[in-house]
Amino acid sequence: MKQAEYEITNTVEKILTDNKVDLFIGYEKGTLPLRTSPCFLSKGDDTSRLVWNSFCSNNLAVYLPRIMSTTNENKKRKRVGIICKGCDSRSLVGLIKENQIKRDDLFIIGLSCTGIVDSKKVLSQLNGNEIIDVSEDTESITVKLKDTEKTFDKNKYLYESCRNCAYSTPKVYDVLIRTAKFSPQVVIPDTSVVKFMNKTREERWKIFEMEVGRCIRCYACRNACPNCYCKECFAEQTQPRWLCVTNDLPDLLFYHTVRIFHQAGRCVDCGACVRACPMDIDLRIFTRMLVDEVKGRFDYDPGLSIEEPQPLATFKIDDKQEFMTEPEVNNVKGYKK
Amino acid sequence: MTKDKRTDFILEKNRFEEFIRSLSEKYRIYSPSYTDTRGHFIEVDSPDKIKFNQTNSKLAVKSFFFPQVENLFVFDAETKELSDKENETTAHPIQHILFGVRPCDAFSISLLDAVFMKISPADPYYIKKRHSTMIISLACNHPRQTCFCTSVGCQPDSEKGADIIFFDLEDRFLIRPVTDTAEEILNSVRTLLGSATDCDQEKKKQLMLESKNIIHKDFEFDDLVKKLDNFNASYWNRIYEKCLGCGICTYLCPTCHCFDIADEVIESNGRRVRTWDSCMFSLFTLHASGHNPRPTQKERMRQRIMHKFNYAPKNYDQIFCVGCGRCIMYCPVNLDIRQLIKGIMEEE
Repeated sequence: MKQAEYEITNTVEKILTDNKVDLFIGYEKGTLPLRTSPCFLSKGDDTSRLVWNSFCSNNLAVYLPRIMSTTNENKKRKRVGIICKGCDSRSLVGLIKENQIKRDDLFIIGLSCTGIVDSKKVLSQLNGNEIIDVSEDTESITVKLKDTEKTFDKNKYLYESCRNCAYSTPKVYDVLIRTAKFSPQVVIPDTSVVKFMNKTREERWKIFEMEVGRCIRCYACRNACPNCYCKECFAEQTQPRWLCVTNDLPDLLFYHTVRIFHQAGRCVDCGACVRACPMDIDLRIFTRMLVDEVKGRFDYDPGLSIEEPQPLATFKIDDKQEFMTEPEVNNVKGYKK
Repeated sequence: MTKDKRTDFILEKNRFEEFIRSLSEKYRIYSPSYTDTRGHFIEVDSPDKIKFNQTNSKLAVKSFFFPQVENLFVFDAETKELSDKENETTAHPIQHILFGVRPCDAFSISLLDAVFMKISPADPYYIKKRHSTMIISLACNHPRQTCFCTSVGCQPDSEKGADIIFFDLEDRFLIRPVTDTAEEILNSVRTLLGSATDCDQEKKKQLMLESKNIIHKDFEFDDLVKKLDNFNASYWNRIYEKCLGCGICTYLCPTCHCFDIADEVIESNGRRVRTWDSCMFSLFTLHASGHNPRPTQKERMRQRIMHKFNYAPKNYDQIFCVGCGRCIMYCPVNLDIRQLIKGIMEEE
């Protein structure tokens, strides 16, 4: 970790000094234990603020459209350097494909990621005791409490999205930094979708209602998502008006369903929406379903190559289209009634 | 001060259930829920559901008086008929008791009172709920790392905004009535209460001293108001950068009170609703013309900080932050308001 941090700092110092980029986005130490915070650096800023550890949870690609978009108020071309984990880089590739940002304006420091530790999972094991200090090595993290210390096996305390991640190393980058002693991550297959599908319709509805029903419409899921770069979100549009402003269940369902549907073929399952949600809504149950659906239909994983067209933005003669030709056969395939 | 004339009571913890049960005969009692995932105040059906050792509720107590969505009135969109039942300002007897409000949250209600109740015209919807509700706060024995109440003029044992304050002395509660209403209500359960001894007072004092020592004092706010007078200071150009523009900090904030009003009509059923608004949203203050005086996150972040720490002190003689730490705990990018303010204070 320390070696990676050293390499990051050196690279960033160099590209800022050489005017290769106008701005660099990385991570800095957070103010809370088990957290880091995104860090914006320009030439002359202190690059030693940059850190790299198992708590770099934010998907930094989210900042790119607002900084670099050619349709921005700020028309000046901005070249940005950025730290990318596997998932961040996949988001970034999606943004390039959708013409939101330009590859030429980016300097990507790719990092082979070993997964990010879910701070909530760790905190849930501490009986409300506060953490005084945190240290980590390759396999574990150790938290110092008031009177005692506790060590956690990293692999068991990763975010669910990290446990299921099959692309922890970026495919698109300018410099790739490998984390010391990097051992290929064991991908734990995601069973949540299968479990969800095996429930009855009433049970599924109940879960949906319970999860989505506690939404406070703070839009953190949307704003943390790199794919949600619409200048004007349908949820807030007034002309035309798509949904009411209340937090009645129909409005919440409408908002989440439509937002999630807009992710089809684009969601890289980085988990940023889930991490951002203050109400702990497990949005991944729903986004994960789309990821599987797209994979099953089009054998497509988003964000791996800049050239490959997005399945929903192109047409192939052998695309499955039974939902049009034989809707009665397949419309509830795989689901319990 | 009249409060010095009031006497403090003692309630043994083994009589707490009886205490709540007696009160619940006459009043509806609400307390923060830690099983309900929304983490807000819900009605208590049994006294054992009330917990003392927990952190602050996720949603601030403001949502009880100033709910996220509130029907102002309903109307028939075809006949244009209006039903205006809500809009009455007559005195209301106490009907609800909020138990276990943290002193910072109770403090925040005193701030919201200044906005909704103590100016003219006062807000009838707020007043109705406020007048019919008594707040029992619970002093903090275990402040969290995110707590910074002492930096903004609040304390773990602040009485402001509360009608009664409870101090948890491990085996018993020390109860201090703060308002006249509280005395009346406590009189109705007087048989369950004892009087506080010097020893109890001493223990209370000790616990509160420990609490205050835990809370890190991050800044002095006296200079801050003046510092912020420089509207065009250069620090605004940087401090918003990492903000995602979501509404978590403002929606969970116990003092944020911006709202929007909209008419929702489904077929002929119309209603005028008031909903929370957030200065962090790009739609905030967007004019019908398309012009927005706060076009980027920079201006919106400035609005949030200025409103709390500059405009409010000028308009209401109070900082509109109570140091509860929710915005710090739940910010998805760990944009820490304490750090932000410290940064501003250190600027030239």
